Amino acid sequence: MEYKYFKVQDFIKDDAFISWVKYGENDAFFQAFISDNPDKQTIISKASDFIKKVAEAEKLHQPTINQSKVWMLINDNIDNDSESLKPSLLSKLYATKWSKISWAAAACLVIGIGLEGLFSINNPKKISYSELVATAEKQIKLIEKTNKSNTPLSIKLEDGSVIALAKNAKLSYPKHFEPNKRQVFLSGEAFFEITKNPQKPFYVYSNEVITKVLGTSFTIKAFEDSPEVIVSVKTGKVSVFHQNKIAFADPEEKALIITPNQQIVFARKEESLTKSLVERPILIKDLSQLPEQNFEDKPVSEVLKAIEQAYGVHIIYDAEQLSHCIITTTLANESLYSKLDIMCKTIGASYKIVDAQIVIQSMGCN
Amino acid sequence: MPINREYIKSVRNLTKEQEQALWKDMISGNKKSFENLYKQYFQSLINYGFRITQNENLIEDSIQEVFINLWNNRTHLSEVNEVKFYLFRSLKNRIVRQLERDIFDKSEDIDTYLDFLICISEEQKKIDSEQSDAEILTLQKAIAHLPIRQQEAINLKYYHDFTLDEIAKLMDVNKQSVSNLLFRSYATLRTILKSWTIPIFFLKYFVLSE
Repeated sequence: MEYKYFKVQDFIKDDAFISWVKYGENDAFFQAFISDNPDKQTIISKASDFIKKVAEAEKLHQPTINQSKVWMLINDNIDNDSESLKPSLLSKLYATKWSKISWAAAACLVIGIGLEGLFSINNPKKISYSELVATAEKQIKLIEKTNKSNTPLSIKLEDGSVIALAKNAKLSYPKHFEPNKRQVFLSGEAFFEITKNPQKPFYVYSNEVITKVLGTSFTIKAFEDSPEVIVSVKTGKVSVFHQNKIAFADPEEKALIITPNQQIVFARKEESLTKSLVERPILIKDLSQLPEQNFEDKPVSEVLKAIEQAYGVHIIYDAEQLSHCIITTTLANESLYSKLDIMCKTIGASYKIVDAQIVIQSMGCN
Repeated sequence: MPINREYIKSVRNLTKEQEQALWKDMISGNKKSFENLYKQYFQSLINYGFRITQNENLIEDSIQEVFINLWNNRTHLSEVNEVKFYLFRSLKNRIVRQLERDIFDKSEDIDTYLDFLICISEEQKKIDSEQSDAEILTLQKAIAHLPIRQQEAINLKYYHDFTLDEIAKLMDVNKQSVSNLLFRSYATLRTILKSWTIPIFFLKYFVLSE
């Protein structure tokens, strides 16, 4: 897109424009552009103003750390072996200040991450199914079932929960659960349907990921040799935790939220959690429960809201840009993505999935 | 009519050539160049670190470790194309490894956002059109209310001058995500800059619908 079609939001993302605003680079070019395009003056003013002021604001956001003091500490530690850092660095525990969070939405998963691993900087600890089971068996007797057939193997637990093991998957579980929690251990892939019992949270240990369940249905893929652990939710609420060392206590931790049709992929080596949409998002609400299924010459934003409710996804779009877009369509039991494809083609827009959300980009309708 | 650029008169920190020369010198064991490198980038690095965590001790220790390791491993380093980017990424990796990953910023804190709206409307009444200082302060407060990922993106783009690609690598997302983060923060922040007031309810689509 050429500069003459740029709006403020386009200028503020343009590297060349930003360096002109901040450092006067390519001044001749931009001055010429402004005289050739006087109608762009206001837009350019706004964009310049924004950039300058944000840069200024960011400059003021500075922590108080003494440069020379830190330099002295650095100086003391170099010419030593890099292994033997002064104890002060290694033994500090970092108290982190957490921002206040309050949850507006229902149906959320909380993923906590253990604060252990101060020493695991270079070697993320891999935790295996066998290690988990061996540690657990010190306290409670476990039964192990392996699915050696080609069809899913259903296991019914003491509380009525049913777990369907995929081929070659292994599950270790106790015949009788402990009084205040339910724990099982998984290797491979399984689909879980857990009975609700808020007094007795259900924990699934799969490699380095712990999934805490209150009562729901979800899939976990935790293969021994896979670089990832994937948890995807069909209905209900799940909490997913990551641990570096084996600890069966219930850690007080922060959570990552995933809702139905979302999934978490835990990359074991990088120890990172990524949220995304599942491959084929399904309807999480019955269509009859929606206020409207048929839309005739309705604003696109209304249809998008209905889709959000039907699939439990978040859609981000520029309301101003879409305000003139009208569409006629019906919501049926169909693939979310084909619905979005057709809608976007109709209104001349496109969509992208970003961070488990759908972002609609459009030039507007006229 | 030339745009008034007196607001920020700045020059880029070092030219590419100067950066490379300093780096090369440092690798070859010149301690003075190592110290100069530290002095050159200290302020920028801790500024960026402050966008990743509020924990000043953590920032302090992390930057220490970055430079200690840099010196101790200098013989294993080759010439680096982008010195500034390399240092930023080292710092980020170090901080992030110690921190629990704060992934909450992806979900909007509705209450915080409403607080922000109230705060902004109060501020608007106080801002005099000549007082651009007050505006910067309001902007600062507004930035503090943005989701952390947006804060990080605007810090890297508008203060530290990284490209979208570099920011994508630092933040471990794709380029489009960075673009979206910038767009969202622009959509929210523009309301408090003079003469750009748009009806508050439009903001709801940009922020609450996440």
